[in-house]
Amino acid sequence: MVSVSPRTALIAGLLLVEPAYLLTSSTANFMKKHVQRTIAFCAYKLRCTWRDIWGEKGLSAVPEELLVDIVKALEWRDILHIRQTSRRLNSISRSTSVWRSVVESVPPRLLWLERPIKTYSSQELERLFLRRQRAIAGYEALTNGATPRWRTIKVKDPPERKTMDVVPGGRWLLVPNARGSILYYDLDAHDSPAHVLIPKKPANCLTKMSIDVDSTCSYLRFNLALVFYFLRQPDYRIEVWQVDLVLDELGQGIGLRADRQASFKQEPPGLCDTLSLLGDNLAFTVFYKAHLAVYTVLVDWRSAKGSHYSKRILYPSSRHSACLLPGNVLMSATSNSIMLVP
Amino acid sequence: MAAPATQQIKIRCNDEKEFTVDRDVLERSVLIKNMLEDVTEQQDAPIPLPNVSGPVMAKVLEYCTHHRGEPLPSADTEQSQDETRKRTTDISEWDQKFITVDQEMLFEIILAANYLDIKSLLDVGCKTVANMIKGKTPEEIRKLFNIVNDFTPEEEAQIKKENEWAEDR
Repeated sequence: MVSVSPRTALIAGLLLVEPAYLLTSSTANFMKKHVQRTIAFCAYKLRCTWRDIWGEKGLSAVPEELLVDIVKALEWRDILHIRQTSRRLNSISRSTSVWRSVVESVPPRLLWLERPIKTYSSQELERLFLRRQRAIAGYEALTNGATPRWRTIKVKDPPERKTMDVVPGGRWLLVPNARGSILYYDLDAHDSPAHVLIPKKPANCLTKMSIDVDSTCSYLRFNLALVFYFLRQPDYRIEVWQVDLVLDELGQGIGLRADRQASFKQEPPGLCDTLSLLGDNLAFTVFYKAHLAVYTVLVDWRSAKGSHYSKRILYPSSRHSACLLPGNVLMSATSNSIMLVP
Repeated sequence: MAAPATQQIKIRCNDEKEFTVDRDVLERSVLIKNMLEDVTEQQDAPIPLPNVSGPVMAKVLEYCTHHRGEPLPSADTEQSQDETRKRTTDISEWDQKFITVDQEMLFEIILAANYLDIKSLLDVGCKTVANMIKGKTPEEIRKLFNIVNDFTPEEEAQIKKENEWAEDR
């Protein structure tokens, strides 16, 4: 092995810099890079490391990929701290693998991604995660008496019965309008314009909706159950739509698209109080005037058609609401009890 | 290649310091393990390790000796290892004691573990540094690691402002 002192290597490196670069002062940066590269080459040839030449020690001697590993082991708040120490650490604190690991540490139900995590840029992941943390911080501040920050979104033709929902993930707001169409608003966009998700139906009125996200899908997909009340011939219909994220050519989510999966009569007819969709099951509670009673109805919506389909009707009782839980359990709540029906 | 466990291997560090070590201890290092697998005939010349100094190697060998016989993480398990490693900065008691060294040595160990490809030791080192950073202000972190603040005042103010909200708690 050749043994040359690091300082000799440095001088050898400097001698190799072409003199032409020395003449133009504006190429200082370029030159610096060139010098570094030349020295690195010499170092490689002489079997000594970059470190031997500059005598770097401690954190500054740690190569970038190891710093990334260190930063990955930090909590998010510490990542924001280390970012403020130097340019190098600032850029490392913004690497994709750091934020991927931060986002992956959050249970998926608490931080919904609408695309596979690999398609997100570092900035997007950071923004998503920090937005959640900001919301938590804001919520904690609220309980300490702080004034909330808010934002107003103008809703076109607001419906009489106020029903609206945000799709898990917090980006898409679904609002029916008075003319019977369902609009969606992109809350990530600055002006949040309204788009039509489901076009209007002749003279109807939406009473309830329920969202069920398909978490097995790598891109955002959810089923949307809707109960319509047709004004002309008093009639209640239930529809289930499958809604998918629309991607642009760069693979970014830019909108939603809906396809109808099922449409059937609500039986018994009457005003629907609650609607709950989960997987193949749909539960709703209805006030049936003829019997002066509230019914909870359970339907396999995929096989439901027209007005005759198999359904389970649960105990008529006082006013209550129903909610489907995972594991084929129906939670039924009345004013004084909660029932779990398998 | 089934080598007798007692086979002794010589290594030479960049300060000419030499060690004679049991082969299975040295094989904690994937780099050396691969080197030994490539060499079929018995060699008397020591393996040169130009990136590691004697005192650091002594430390690394202490670690390897303690953990000898433990299964090595294979390339397949790396992914799942990565999963479990996430955000867990727990270090076993022995490792904790082992890694309680001055900062210069700590970074030397990290660099050596990286060069020698000893994943578990690299992990312990990175976690230790992470633990040192935890809960400190940017100024404290700079002081701790002698980091030179190379931001312009404007850049620094901008970055500080960006992260201000996270400080009120």
